[in-house]
Formats: sequence, C-alpha cells, structure tokens
Amino acid sequence: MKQKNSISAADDIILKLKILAKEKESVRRKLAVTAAKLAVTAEKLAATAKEKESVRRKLAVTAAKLASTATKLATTAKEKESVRRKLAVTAAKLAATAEKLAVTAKEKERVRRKLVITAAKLAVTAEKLVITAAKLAATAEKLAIAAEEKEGVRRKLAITAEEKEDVRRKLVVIAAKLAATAEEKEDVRRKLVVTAAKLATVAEEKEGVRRKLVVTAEEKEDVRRKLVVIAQKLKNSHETLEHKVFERTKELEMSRAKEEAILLSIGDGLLVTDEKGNIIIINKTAEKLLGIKSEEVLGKIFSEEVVLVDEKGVVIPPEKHPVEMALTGSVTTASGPTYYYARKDKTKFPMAIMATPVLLNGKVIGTIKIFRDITSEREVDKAKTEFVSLASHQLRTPLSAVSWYAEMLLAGDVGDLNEKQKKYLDEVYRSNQRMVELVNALLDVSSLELGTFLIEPEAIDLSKLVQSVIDEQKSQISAKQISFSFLFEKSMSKMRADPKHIRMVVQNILSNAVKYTHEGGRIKLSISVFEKKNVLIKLSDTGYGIPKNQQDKIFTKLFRADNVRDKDTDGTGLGLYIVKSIVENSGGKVWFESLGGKENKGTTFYVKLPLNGKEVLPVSI
Amino acid sequence: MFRGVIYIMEIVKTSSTHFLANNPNISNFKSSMKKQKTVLIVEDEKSLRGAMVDILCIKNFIPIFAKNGREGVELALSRHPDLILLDLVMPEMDGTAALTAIRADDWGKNVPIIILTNLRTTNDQIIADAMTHNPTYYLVKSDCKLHDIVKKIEVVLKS
Repeated sequence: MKQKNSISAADDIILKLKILAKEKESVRRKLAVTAAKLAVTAEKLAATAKEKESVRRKLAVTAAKLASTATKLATTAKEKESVRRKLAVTAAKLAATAEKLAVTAKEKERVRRKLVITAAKLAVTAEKLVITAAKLAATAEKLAIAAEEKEGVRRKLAITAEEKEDVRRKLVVIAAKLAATAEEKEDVRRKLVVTAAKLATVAEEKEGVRRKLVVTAEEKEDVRRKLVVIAQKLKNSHETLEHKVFERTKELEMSRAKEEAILLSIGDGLLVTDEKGNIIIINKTAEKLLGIKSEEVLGKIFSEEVVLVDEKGVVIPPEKHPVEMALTGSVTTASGPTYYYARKDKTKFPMAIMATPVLLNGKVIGTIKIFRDITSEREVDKAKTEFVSLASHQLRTPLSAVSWYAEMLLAGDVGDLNEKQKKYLDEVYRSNQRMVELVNALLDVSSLELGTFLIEPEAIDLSKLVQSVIDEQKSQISAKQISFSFLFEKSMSKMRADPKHIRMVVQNILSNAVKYTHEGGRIKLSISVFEKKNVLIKLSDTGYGIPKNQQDKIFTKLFRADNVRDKDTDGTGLGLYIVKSIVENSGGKVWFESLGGKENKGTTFYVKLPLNGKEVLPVSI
Repeated sequence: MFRGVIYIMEIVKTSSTHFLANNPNISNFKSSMKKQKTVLIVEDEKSLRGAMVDILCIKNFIPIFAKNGREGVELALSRHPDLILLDLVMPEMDGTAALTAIRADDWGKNVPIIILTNLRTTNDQIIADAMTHNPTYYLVKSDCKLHDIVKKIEVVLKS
C-alpha cells in the first residue's frame, strides 16, 4: 500500500512534473513567440531608429541650412538697417538742406522785397530830391532877387540919409547966419534949431532904419551864402546824375548800334519809315536792290523816292503802295498783284513786298517794309507753267490724231469694216480715250503740284454749271439705266468760285458715281446752302462702296480701292486726289460716308465750298 | 449716194487733198454747183490737218488749209472762207496773232472762227489771251470727236 502510495505519489509527482514541463514548454514557447515578437519589434525599432536617424540627419542639415540662411538674413537685415540708417541720415540732411534752402529762399524773397521797397523809396526820394532841388533853386533865385532889391533900397536910403545930413548942415549954417542977423531971427533961429534938432532926430531915426536895413542885408547875405552851399551840393549831385546818364546812354547806344547792325545786315531789303512815311532806316540790301544810297533818301518820303509800277510800266499811285496802306490801314499788307520797282536807270524788277505798321499803344508810329527781288522765282513759275502747257499740247496731239482716224474708220466714213475689224478698232479707240483721260488727269495733278493752279473766283451760276456736267455724262448714265435725280436749292444766289475748278470737281465725283454703280442703280445729286456761308454738294449712289480698311487712303494719289480695281480698269486713281486738292485750295472741304465693304450700300460724297470764293483774311497785328 | 462718197474719197487720196482743197477752180466750181461752204483749216500738225480735210470733204464742205498762222491770215483775207478752224500753237505766227490780224480786217471782224486747241483749258494763259480777241467758239481737240467738230461747224454756219 505504502509502495502503491509512493508509486502513485511518484506518478503524481511525475505527472505534476510533466504538467510543469508542459507548462514550462508552453511558457517557453510563449517566451519564444514573445522573443520572436520582441526580435521583430527590436528589428522594427532598429529600422525606425535608422529612419529617425536619417530624418534627424536631414533635419540637422536643414537646421544647418536654416541657421546659415538665418545668419545671411541677419547679415542682410543688418546691411539693410545700415542702408536705411544712411538713407535716414541722408534724408535728414536733405530735409535740413531743403529747410535751409527754404529759409534762404524766404530770406532772399524778404531781401528782394526790401530791395524793391528800398528801390521804390529811393525812387520816391530821388523824385522828392529833384522837386526839393527845383524848389530850392526857385527860392534861391527869388531870395537873390529880393536881396538885390533890398540892397538897392538900402543904397537909396543911405543916399537919402546923406542928403538929409547935408540939408541939416546947410540949415545949421543958415541958422547961424540967421542968429547973427537979428533977434527976431533969433526966434526963427531957435525955431530953426528946434527944427534942426527935430531934423537931426529924424536923421537919427533914418540912420536907425538904415542900420536895421544893413542888419537885414547881412541876414540876407547869410541866407544867400547858405543857398550857394546848397546850390553847390545840388550841382554836385547833378553832375553825378549826368555822369550816370552819360554811362547809361553809352550802353543804350551800344545796344542800339548792335540792333541796327542786325537790321542792316538782313538779307532781304529793309526799309523803315516814320508815321509820315519818311524813310528812317534803309539797309544795304535795299540800297543795292533799289540802286539808291541811304544818304540820298533818309528823311525823304518813301513813296516819292520809290516808284512802283505794274507789269506794263504804269505807275502805282502812292495810296496803293503797301507802305501807305500799312500806314492808313494799320494792317500788314503784302502787294497783291506783282509790283515792279522802277530804278532810276529805267530798269525794273518784280518785288515781293510785305509792309507792316509799327504800333505803339495802338497808334501807328511807322512802318517796316521787307522786300526782295523775285525775278528768278517768277522765271521758275513761268517755266513750270510753260512746261505743263507744252506737255499738254505735245502729248495730246498724237492722241487726237489716233482718236480722229479711228473714229472715221468706225463711222464707216471710208467704207465698211467687218465685225472683227470693228471690234479691234473699238478697242484702239477706247484705249486711246483712256490715254487722253490719263494725260489730262496727270497734267492737272502736275499743275496742282507745281503750284501753277491759280484759283480765280468769279460769280458763277452753280446750277447751270452742274447741269452742263450732268449733260456731258447723260449718255453713260442712261446706258447703265441708272435712275438719276438732281435737286437744287432755288433760294441760293450766285456764288463766287473758279468755274473751271468747280467743273472738274463735279465731273470727277459724278463720273466716279456713274462708273462705280451697277446697272439699274440710283444716283442722287443735291446742292444746298450750308451753314449760311457755304454751299454743300451732296452726291449719293448705290454703288460698290469703299472698303472700310481703305477709306483713309481714298484721296491718295494713284490709289484705287481693291473692290473696283477688278471691276473697272479705266480709273486713273487721280480723280479724288484732284478733287481734294482743288476743294482745299479753294478753302472748302470734301468728305464721304460709305458702308465700307458692304456691296451695293453705296457712297455719299460731300463737297463744302465757301459761297464768297476763297476767304482771304487780313493779317492784323 | 454711197458710191458718190467713195468716189470723192478716191480723188482725195490719189490727187492729194491738198491739191483738191486748195485748187480755187475746183472749189469754186463745187461751191457754185452745190452751195457748199468753204472752211479754212489753220493747223500745223499734218495728221490732224489731214483728218479734218478728209472729214470736211466727206461732209460736203470745201476745205482749204494753211500750215501756220501767217499762211492762214493770207488765205483767209484772199479767199474769204465761210468759217475758220484755228489752231493756237503754231510756228511762224501763232493762233492768237492770226486771230488778231483777221479780226482787224473789215471782212474778218465778223467771220466765224472756232479755236481748236490741245492746250489745257483749265489754266492756260495762251487760251485766256486768245479768248480776249473774240473767237466764236473754242474746242479742245482731244476732248471732242471729229464729228462733233463738224456738228459745231454746221450749227455756227446756220446761226
């Protein structure tokens, strides 16, 4: 039993040991698992630690960079601060300088004001001194006169006193004689003595008066001396003034001489007259041009010395001389028609004259005349005109021959032509006509550009003129079956214009309208008074219109718009250029409205012309 | 009638229009037969002169011609044409001088004279001068057809 017990206890223990072993095994296993987990964790930690290390390193690098940046920034900030401080200092200095300048300016202003006031005061004082001097001089003169008069009286009184003394003496003698003669006479004598005594008294009184007069004379003498001193002082200041005046005059003369030298050296002829027309300045060019010497004409009447004649040698009356007109009209005049100066040796030359009145406070005090010899300019003008005239003639003559012979052939005047011949000849004829038009337009343009295009306004009937232009183009208008209307404001009186030029203007804009309007289109022409002083020609069509992007070029020489270049090859590109040149030369304006590019919307042209011809405004001073 | 025209043209071409035109016997003969009007052409340019002579023949006028102003005045005063076509720019004597000389004559002061020129009418001093000597009319050659000139001659001669 005991053994059994011990066996079972041993078994028990073994069992327990087994259980324990199992438990240990389980614990070991758990530990192993835990160890494995720990190992994994340790590994992870190690990895994390590495990452952290790497991050830390990066951070360290970043920190280092930041530190460096911070240092740099700190440095920059310091520099900036230093610059700012310097700027602040500079600003402060500038402010101080500005203040000082302001103060200086103020002081200067103050000083200037004081100077102005002082100058004004000095001027007043000087004026007062002059007045005082004048008064003193007057008083001195009066006193001198009075002193002289008193002296005269004193002298007379002295003489009287002497005479009285003489009488008294005589009386004393007579009294003595009388005393000696008779007692009766004694009485008389006594009386006489008394009388004599009285006379003596009177004489004494007179003496007193005389003395007093002497004293007065002395006082007068004193005043006179003082006046002499003042006069001396005045004389001194007068001398100083005279010296100053002399110096100033010298300066003025210098500057006057300079101005005169400038005037006399002007390349054009220069003549200055006074308000009566007397010549006061004539420069060298004028002397040379007029063939006269300044000594001969200075101070003489201009219109008597300078004879102006017209082209035919007829003397221009003095009142029509530009100088006279400048004197009487007080406005600048340029000789309108060409005047010629007839020299004493009978030669003459054309002059361009410009006379201007010299005005002082609105009053004419003389005239200045500038003139030059325009012989060569006139020759150039003449050559230009002759060139255009000759070119016109020479170019058009062969064209006329071609045109006429082709015309006779086409008309069958010398026999029938077959269809083909007719067609070809028609081409020849039409091309020739185009050439004629081109030559005409080119000649007009060259004439405009050479400046030989004179505007000669005269009274014209615009309605008639325009109607004749319409008649000329009627065949083209009806050939294209264009409906045409013409409205004319009846109230319009006659206008002044150059008929040749107006005709060209109307011809050009109307032929354009006809050319550039489709068959069956519409053209409206109207003429009315515009802004009272102008006439407005308005021409609208339903034609091709002018492309928007080319509208600014339409008046340019030889320009043709794209949309008509293909449709019509006849145009010269000169018509509107001519129109614009003429209208603007005549003091008018031309413009148009066109819905550009939109076909068949048409164009409206406006021509504005002054009713009274070209306005020529006088130049007033 | 058509043949007749061709026939006259042949004479003109072969015997020279100049001979025909300036032969007083022929022209006087013609004028007496058909009361044709004589037209004096004063023109220095041969081609233009030829065209005018031809068209006037065709249109039943009697053309006579001169090559410059001097000849023109002589012919005008000796032949007394019914009308004169006068060029302006010519050698020896220009149109204006010829016009002045013809107008100074007793017969010439009333004869119709048409100035035919190729000068620009817009701005020409020569035309302006000529116009002061009382021409009947003036035409610009390059601006008008030959037939227009004939029409103008007919109108002027009728009035």
